[in-house]
Amino acid sequence: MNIASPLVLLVEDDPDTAALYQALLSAEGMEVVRCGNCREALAWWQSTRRRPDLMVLDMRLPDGDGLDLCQEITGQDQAAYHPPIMVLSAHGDPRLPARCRQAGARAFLDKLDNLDQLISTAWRLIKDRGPDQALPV
Amino acid sequence: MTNWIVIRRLAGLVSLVCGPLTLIYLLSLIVKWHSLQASGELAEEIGLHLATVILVALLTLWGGWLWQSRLNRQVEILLDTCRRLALGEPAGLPEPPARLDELGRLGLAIQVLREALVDYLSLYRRFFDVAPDMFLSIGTANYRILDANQAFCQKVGLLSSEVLEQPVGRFVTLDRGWEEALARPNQLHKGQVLTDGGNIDIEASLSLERGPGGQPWVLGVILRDVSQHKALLDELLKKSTALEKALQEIQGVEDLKDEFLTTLSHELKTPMVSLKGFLQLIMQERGKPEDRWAYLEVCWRNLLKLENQINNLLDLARLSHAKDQFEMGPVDLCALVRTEAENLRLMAEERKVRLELGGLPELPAMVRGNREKLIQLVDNLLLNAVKYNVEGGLVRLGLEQREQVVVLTFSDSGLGIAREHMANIFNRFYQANLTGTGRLEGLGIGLSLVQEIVLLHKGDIRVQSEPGKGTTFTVILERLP
Repeated sequence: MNIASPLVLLVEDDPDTAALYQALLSAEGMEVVRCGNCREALAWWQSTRRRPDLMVLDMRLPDGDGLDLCQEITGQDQAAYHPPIMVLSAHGDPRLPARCRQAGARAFLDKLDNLDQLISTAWRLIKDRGPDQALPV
Repeated sequence: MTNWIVIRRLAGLVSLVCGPLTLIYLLSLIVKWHSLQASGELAEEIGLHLATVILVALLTLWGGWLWQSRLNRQVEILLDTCRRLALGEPAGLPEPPARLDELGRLGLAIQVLREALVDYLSLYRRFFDVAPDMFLSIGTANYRILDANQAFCQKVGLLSSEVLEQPVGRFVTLDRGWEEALARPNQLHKGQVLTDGGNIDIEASLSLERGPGGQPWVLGVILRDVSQHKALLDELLKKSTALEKALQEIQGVEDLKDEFLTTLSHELKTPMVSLKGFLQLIMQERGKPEDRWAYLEVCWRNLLKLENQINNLLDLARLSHAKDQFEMGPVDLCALVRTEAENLRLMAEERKVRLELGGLPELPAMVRGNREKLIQLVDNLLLNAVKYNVEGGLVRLGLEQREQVVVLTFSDSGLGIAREHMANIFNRFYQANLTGTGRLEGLGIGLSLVQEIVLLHKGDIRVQSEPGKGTTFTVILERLP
């Protein structure tokens, strides 16, 4: 893991929101890979051996939702490395955080929460990954 | 006959007199017995006395027999009267015997009892006849009608005399048959009364009267006309089904409302996320300084998006509830369509969609309407045609003037609308996943707004679509002469 410049997979369909998170995370020294939907994200996952230090997923995506993507990625190979997942949503549904955790997400944030909270949560998840989740070279 | 009665009465009198006289005579003989024995005149006297005793005894027996037969006859008359009363036979009572006190009183009592029974009978007869339900009494041996009330006679359109003694099956059929009804008399049976005017649905409640030996005697039947009940029940069932359907529709609308609120929340929050986030970046001086103008542009764009969403919502609310507040005047649709198509041409080109105006007439196509709302209508349909099109696709806008109407058509070569979405596309809460990528845009109220604008102009809108080939919206508005 390169803690100085962690790799973040960002899946967000709204271009402006994606641009915002990219600007924010890049300013923190993170490398951001942007995908607009589940299909693009899975294609990227399968096309490279690189694995992200963190995944930031939008809950509502055009071809599914963040939970589907969570399960798709974590279900592909049980023994393989699973990066920590943060789900973002503008839904406001009180049942969502529990559903996200059940699907394997480590954090759930409302998109209108303060950006500082997003940054601190992102860093916490990256640092708390643990040695068994070390990124394979 | 009168002589015979006189003789019989005389004989009774004789037996009444002779009985005690014989007794006295015998007692006197016993007293005289010893004196006659002592004087030796016993043998002479005995023959005479014996003959007298035998004669008196015979007279007594004859008088007693006559008296007994008279009593028996009176008792038989009373018993016969009681039996006829029990059978409800209408014959009057004979005069009670005047000289026989005990039997006379008994006869009088029976006569009083009869009068009371006749009174009760006539009371129940009146109930029986004025009741709106039909009453029948039926003999259980041959199922013939013993009695029928007026309601029944009126229903079958016959006189009472034409109904009595007739087989009940001629007028009433029970679904399970009369034998089955007799076997289960305490249940409610369904059937029909047969009349010249058609069959009437009835419910029959039966009660079986048994004779003294427990054998079935008379079947009492109450028939209730339920044809109106049935009609009401059918009506009720129809209404209940309609209500159920309405409830399902309401439930459907409720579901769509929930979906709409979720979409609303997402669509209003999404521009706000960018707006708030980029403003926070600028305020906290994060990011590169040279990017700040670009951030401001994103903020401005999202602010306009928010404004547009809110205006759409307000427009829809106004169009739904305050149609009379819109000013109406003559509008040239031909010029309006041409202008709006030109305004959208750049956006269409950006999306690599060709915009074609098919055969617009040179002459004005005048309609009476609200100019602003008609622009909104054309813009919405054109934008949809561009937005839900494919790269390299075509949008064709047509206008045709007919005798009384102007017909606008918006055809696209996009992905079309699936059959299951067609019924709901004008519903304000509905947003079909129309694009190929599944991208969700807008609040799903665009088409609902279009429909409200058409309604404002008392026009009509139709849609034809084939998945994979495209969609055509046709708007028909009344033409101004």
